[in-house]
Amino acid sequence: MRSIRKIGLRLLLIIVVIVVYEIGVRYAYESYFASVIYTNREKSQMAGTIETLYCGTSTMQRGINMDVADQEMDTISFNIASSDQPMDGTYFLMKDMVKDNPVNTVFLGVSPETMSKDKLATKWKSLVVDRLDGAEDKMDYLIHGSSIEEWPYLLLYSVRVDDYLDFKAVKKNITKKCSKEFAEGSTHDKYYRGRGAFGRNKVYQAEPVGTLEQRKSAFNSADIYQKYEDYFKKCIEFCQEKDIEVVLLYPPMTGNKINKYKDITPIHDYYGEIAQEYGVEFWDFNYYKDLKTVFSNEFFEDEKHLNGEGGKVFARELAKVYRAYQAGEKTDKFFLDICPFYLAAE
Amino acid sequence: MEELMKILKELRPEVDFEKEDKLIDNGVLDSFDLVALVGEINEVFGVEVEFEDMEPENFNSAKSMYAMIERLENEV
Amino acid sequence: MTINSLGFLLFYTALVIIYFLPFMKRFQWMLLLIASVSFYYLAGSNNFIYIIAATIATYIGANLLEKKTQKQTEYLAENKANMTRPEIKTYKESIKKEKHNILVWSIVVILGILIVVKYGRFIAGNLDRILPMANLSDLTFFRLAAPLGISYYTLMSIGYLMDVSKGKCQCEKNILKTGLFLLYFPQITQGPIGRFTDMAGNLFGQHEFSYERFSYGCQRILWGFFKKMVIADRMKPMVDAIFDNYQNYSGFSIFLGCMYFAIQLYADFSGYTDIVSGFSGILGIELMENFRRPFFSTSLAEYWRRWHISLSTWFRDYLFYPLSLSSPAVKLGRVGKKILSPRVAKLVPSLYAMFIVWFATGLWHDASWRYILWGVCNGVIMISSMCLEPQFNWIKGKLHIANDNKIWRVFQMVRTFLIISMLKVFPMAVSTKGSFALIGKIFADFHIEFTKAACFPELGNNDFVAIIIGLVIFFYVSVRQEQGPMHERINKHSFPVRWVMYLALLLMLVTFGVFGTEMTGGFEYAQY
Repeated sequence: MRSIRKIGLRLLLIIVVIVVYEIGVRYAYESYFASVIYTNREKSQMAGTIETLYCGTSTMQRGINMDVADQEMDTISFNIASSDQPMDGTYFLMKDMVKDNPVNTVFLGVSPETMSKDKLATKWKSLVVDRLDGAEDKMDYLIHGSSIEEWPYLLLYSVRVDDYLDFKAVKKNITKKCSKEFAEGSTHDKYYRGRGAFGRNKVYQAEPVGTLEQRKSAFNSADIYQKYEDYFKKCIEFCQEKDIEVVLLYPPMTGNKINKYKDITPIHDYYGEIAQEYGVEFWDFNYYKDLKTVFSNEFFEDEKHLNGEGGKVFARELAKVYRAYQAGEKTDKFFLDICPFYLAAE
Repeated sequence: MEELMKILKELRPEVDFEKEDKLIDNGVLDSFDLVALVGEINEVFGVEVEFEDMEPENFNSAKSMYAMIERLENEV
Repeated sequence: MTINSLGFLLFYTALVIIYFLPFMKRFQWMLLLIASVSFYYLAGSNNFIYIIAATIATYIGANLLEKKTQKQTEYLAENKANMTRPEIKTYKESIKKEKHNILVWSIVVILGILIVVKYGRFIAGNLDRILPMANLSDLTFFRLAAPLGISYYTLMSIGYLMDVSKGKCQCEKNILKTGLFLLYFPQITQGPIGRFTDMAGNLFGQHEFSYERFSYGCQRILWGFFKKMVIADRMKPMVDAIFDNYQNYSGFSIFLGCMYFAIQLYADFSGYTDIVSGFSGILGIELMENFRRPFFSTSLAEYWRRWHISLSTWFRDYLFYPLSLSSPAVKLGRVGKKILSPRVAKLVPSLYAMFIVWFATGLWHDASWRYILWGVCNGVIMISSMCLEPQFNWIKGKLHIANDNKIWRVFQMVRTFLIISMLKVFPMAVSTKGSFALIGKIFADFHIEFTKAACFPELGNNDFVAIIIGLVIFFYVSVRQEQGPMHERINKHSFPVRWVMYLALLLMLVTFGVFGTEMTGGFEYAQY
């Protein structure tokens, strides 16, 4: 009927205007150093070549220096982790990468806090949506990983802008984005280390911790949000179906952070059980025998996240374990039965 | 009818009750005017205007008010 | 699911598509009933029992009343010739009494449900003060949330019963249609409080899809969302900041907060009304007008003719008139004639009814003393201004102020707005004590301070821009609407001009609208 055509045309007009507006707002207000811009660009440039994936939350995004890791492990890798990344987000990001790349290894970072939070802040989900290319992938994630009320925030940058009156920032963004360096990818933030990874230069200023007492743990596996646990397992299953080597990885933390868990043994056991269930490796670097000596506070930016230099250190240590594993050795020799902080000093 | 006009003029001297026929619809008489008016009508004409009669149609013009009064007087 | 959510938008889109399918015309009202029941459920209420009880009571009451009226008509038709005038009169009186009883009992049941569910705790709490041992307010039943829309559909039902009793409308013989009238989803959340006579034709009728109605509806929906998301929701953090921590703010800031709240509430509630009117209009069912630029009122009485119109007219037609014509009012009027001046004496029945009406209005809003006080204050102010009218006129005469003097009118509007804002101390406080604390602070601690922290606390840059632009547009549109309805005037413009306006509003909605993870909090008036 005529009415349907009229409505359809007007709807189309509205969509076109909003899309154009969106592009303009995003161009003006998205920071010229937002890592997502470079991550996506490098992702498409490197499509078809990526063999190793690093997944997880901010501890994985900031914990590994990609260049060192690739050199040591002789591979081409990409980091698809992001802050507080919900597990369903990881699943869809991983699927997305595997679709276009010959991935043969996945390091699946674990984070009990992120898996315990039901309904993570929409802000962190937006980081996932931004990293998914293709409308189908985005819709898939939106339907499975978010509620419809979050869609305006997730799909429209205009909804996310913090301060429309920050004209100084807008001017800088536009000038930088018009520059030659931007086209070459060299204006990114001093924190961005390439291929999705991050690393700050800050150094954690706290007294190193000696021995910790194991108290009643703050962690309870019942707190894990069932949906995220299901997606965690789905990630592993997906990799196994595609004949991809998957390793569960727990990046190292400082003694101060481990102390806050009161006892991290239940966390280790929780992921250990899942690893055993699927017959995959679990490398808990908080049980690493050289944790206290190699991962000293100077390699952390705060109590939980490694810094730029720490990323290189972790990449090297990880590579050691990986190479041994590839050679067919048992990786148990790199780890203790208990977190080193719980052992009395000799 | 003149009695009614006298009451109306006393209540709201500035209104032309001869011409106005949308006293309620146009808000010329407000609810307090109406209540005061009903009180006067009851007293002067000896009728009992009731809740059932409080409809805009009955009060929109002096003519319709008079028709209502007549009906109430003759009603059994 | 609330009206202002994407989930609802999906629900509504599906409804509209099915509603206008060619073969659906005869079943449209049934579809609406199903949709209303679904909406009620999806909105989080699973206590259907109250509305079912109200529907049954309404249906039975209305039908009994109608039967009596019919009985009278039939009997008189048969026997009038053989009856003397006194006999006819007596017969009519007896039927009237029977109808009166049916009406009273129906109202008691329906109102009773509302009282127990919504006011039970309040009553119990007050009884506890007399009998502390009983500890009545602790009963679990009283902690349950009031069912959605109960304050609204209770009034709709009572109004309908009174209209049937009056003979103003035919009673609805179909209980499902009665249920639809009470449950109708666009107005169940916070009104407008519809009248059966106005709605029945459209609600149960058959509707063709009309492109004009569709586009008008969409305009209203867009405008409503604009008011709600760009103005009201952007003002909310500032208003909450002041009233959650009023001890840290000066009386000046608190009074500003009262004014902000008045504006926020207007944007919120009128936005909601536009949204639901738009949705309902597309379906072919017009809802009652609820707001008519209330802040252009020159007196508190006029304000109440322009604010929440469906509520104030309900109280006028179904409480004020019956009360002012009742025997206590008449008796008081006679007493008044003896002791008061003739002018005031004429007002006595009105004043008597007004006081009760405003007490009830306050109580309707919330089961708390502070709201009752608020209602009574509104009533007292209006009563005083009515009684003191000659004195005011004398002052005006002395100052040579004509009624149509523009400056005087602006003064009146500002004065009215300030009074309304001041009265907001009652709703904004969390308790009666809190209200008095607020009043105290305003008067005792009123030092004017033109700093951002004092005038616009907790206001981000985005909030500020949104509110300013939003209010400028809102004010401009309101001024134009005062001069005449906007709708036809908008349609006179060409396609590009109109669409630039629509798209501008839409983009502002996307830019400045508060989405949050849930699309904003619910509507302010839904708690009633």
